[in-house]
Amino acid sequence: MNLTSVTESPHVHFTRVAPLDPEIVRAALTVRIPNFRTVHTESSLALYAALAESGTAKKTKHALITYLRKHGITLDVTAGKGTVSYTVSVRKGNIPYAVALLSEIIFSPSLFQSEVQAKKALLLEDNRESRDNAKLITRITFHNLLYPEGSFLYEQTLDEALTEIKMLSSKSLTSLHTAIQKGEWYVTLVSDAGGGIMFAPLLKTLESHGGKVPEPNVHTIVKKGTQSFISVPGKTNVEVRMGHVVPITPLHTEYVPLDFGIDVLGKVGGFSGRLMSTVREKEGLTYGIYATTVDINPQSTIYWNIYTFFAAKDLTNGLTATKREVERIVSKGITTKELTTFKDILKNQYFIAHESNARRLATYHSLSLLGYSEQIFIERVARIQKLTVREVNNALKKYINSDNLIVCGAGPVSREGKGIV
Amino acid sequence: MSSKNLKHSLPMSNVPAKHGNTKTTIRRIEKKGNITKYVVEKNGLTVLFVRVPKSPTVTTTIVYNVGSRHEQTGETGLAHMLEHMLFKPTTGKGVKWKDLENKGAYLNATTWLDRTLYYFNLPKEYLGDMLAVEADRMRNTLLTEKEFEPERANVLSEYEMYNSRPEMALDWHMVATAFQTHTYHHDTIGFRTDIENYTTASLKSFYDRYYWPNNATLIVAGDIDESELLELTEKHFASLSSGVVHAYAPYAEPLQEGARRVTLMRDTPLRLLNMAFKAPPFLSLDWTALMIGLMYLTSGETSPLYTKLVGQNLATSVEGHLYPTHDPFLAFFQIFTTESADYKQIEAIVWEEIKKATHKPLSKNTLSLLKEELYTTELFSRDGSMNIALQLAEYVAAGDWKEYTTSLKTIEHITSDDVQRALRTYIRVSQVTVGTLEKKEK
Repeated sequence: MNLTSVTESPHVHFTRVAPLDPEIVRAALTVRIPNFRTVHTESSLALYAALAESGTAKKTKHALITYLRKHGITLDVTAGKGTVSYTVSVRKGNIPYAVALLSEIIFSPSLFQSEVQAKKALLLEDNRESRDNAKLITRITFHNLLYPEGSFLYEQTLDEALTEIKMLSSKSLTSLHTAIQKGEWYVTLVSDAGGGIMFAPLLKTLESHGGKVPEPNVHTIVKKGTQSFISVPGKTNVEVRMGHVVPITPLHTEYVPLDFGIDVLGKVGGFSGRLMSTVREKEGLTYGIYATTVDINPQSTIYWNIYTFFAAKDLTNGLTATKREVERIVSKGITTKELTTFKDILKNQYFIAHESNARRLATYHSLSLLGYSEQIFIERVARIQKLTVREVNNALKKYINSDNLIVCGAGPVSREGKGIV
Repeated sequence: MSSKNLKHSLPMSNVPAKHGNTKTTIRRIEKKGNITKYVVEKNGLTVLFVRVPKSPTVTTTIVYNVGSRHEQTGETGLAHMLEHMLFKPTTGKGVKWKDLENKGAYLNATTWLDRTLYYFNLPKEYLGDMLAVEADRMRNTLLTEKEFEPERANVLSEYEMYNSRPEMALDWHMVATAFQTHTYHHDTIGFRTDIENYTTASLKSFYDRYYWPNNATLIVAGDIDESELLELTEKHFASLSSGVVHAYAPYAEPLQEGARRVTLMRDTPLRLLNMAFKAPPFLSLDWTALMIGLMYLTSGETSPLYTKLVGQNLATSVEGHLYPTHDPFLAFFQIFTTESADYKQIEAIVWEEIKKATHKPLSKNTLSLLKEELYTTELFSRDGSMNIALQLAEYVAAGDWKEYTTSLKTIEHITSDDVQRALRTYIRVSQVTVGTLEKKEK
């Protein structure tokens, strides 16, 4: 559709996306920070993001919240994986107010001692509450079995985070703030050209402060399959994740056919994947089960995973059924009919990705963060239409191996994965 | 959300719509804002059309006026179970939902207190197929044992997914305590024992009571031609017959005459105090006024309850919730507390702040800011054909789609007196149900 215009400068990657509704303007700004995906700094980033609405050098917390309401701006600040992201929505006429505010929040956050202490206390409580979150615990465990400590994809455990949060101080946030200003920016704006002009001063400021941050280069070896279960009492379902790393990058010629094959197995959302039609619809073992490949950036190798949950009593049957489907798609491959069907699915999902301003923002900001342009997106859509059954099945055979499945679960289970309900 | 006394409607045009060279049996009833209403004369199906310029896709949403409030004892959760069954085979020939899934449709269905709805989102060339599927499964769904048993297991799995979340389970217990006779008493998922015991006969009976064109509203949002929509609607729906829709006779909830309390004991590190108050229905001025009152008390880090609870390290979050329901339902304060906080102390603080808010009217400036926040939230939620259709569906379910077109204006008309009156009327000791999450005994 060619909806985007991209402006690349050394420190800012700016993408403007044509809006569906020009009155609703949406933007996302993500800064990547040098050497900031460590156990220690992930906690600092979480605290830094939590402080975003606590005030700036010019505005008290009260003044900042009043400003947001007065100008109809919604602001969400999140952090993770060595980045901080600012997401805003605003009516077109109020873009200048949003731009001014973003500039203040990014360059002059107040970081008051009292606020730092208050938010730190909240993070500690959040850490306690997260111990009830079986899905989060499963994800962390899964990533950490795939990637060793120190790797970009290693996630701090709840215990590690607890230790780090306790040590956080205003001083550590000040040095983090300095690093953020020197980060590399990815800005996506869903607005017409006029909105782009109004954003220009902010982009110029980001460019003048920012720096070049090398993207992580993640490569890890495929390991032999293993299982790990963690007991989270008080639950009735066991959250499950399984998968393994794949030693190819997203730019590898076999990536698109492999990704396609994984979609046939368990395309995320809806009911089209094989796992949904067998493990859910035929066998009634779960409410939802999906599979996906995960990219980090163009030069890093990928991984793939399945995520689902089973009632504790159905855990063994659920795992068996899921592995059976993995083995089946590897050994027998996809069918010609599935090839045609999924080509149609993926073609039309391109249009759905443009269905609203919010979806346009989500689509193009994710692409930008992964280092892809709209052109690569369009080329990939075109490449999918040319795929053959043979290409897909060869990729599945070559890269998916049920013997290497890392299986993680959390819920009412013993360490061996025996249901206790 | 809107006010009865602010609403105004256009006169019914009663002009039969024309498309191509064929006179349709679809009557254009009225247009309000950017929404046009039609009725299929033969069977009473209501059609609402919203044009969304330049939209690359079109959304269809069919809303049935049946939700968990229409269920009786022993059949709780049946509306939701039936929703799952509408994704099973039908006796009809032609396009099925799976065909649309296989074209990449964004599709799903949801059931709630007052309604069940189904939606598709796809490029507009599939509009005819989307309508064909809805027309087919409205009357032709196969409710057989073979299809039902695996789906029962899926619904039980869904039940456990919700029940595993202590905050959700506590809500269920609170609603059941707050409502003693009204069928809002039970959650939409139903009681586990009921889910385990439905039969295909009970499903069939429920289907025949509510799944008729004259109990449904079809919403179509997208950049499509009106005459094309009418032609396709005629083609797929005009042959359906109307049916006898089971009359809904709700038990009026008796006046609550004092605070009620409920405790849920779970093995969880979470600590939660909820307070729920009997609240007005969605389509009332009071609903919007109360929403602004709740926002004043809980929204943002400068709100009184955030300052007194989270700011003092007694809570980790405080939120206010009000739902768009057909009948009076509940307004919630949901407070996740810190590990060492005392529920009694927190409750006392909440009452103290409610007392202040009901005694001192909001300043002109504060009210203006809260209204702007609510206005933009509402505006931003109407982004794209799917959001528009799904938002509009809630107005249909609550009883009047036209309020969708005036709700932004309604916000502008709310006064400080309205907010204070709503808080005084609804946020009262006699109307509260307090729920707490406690550690399970070893």
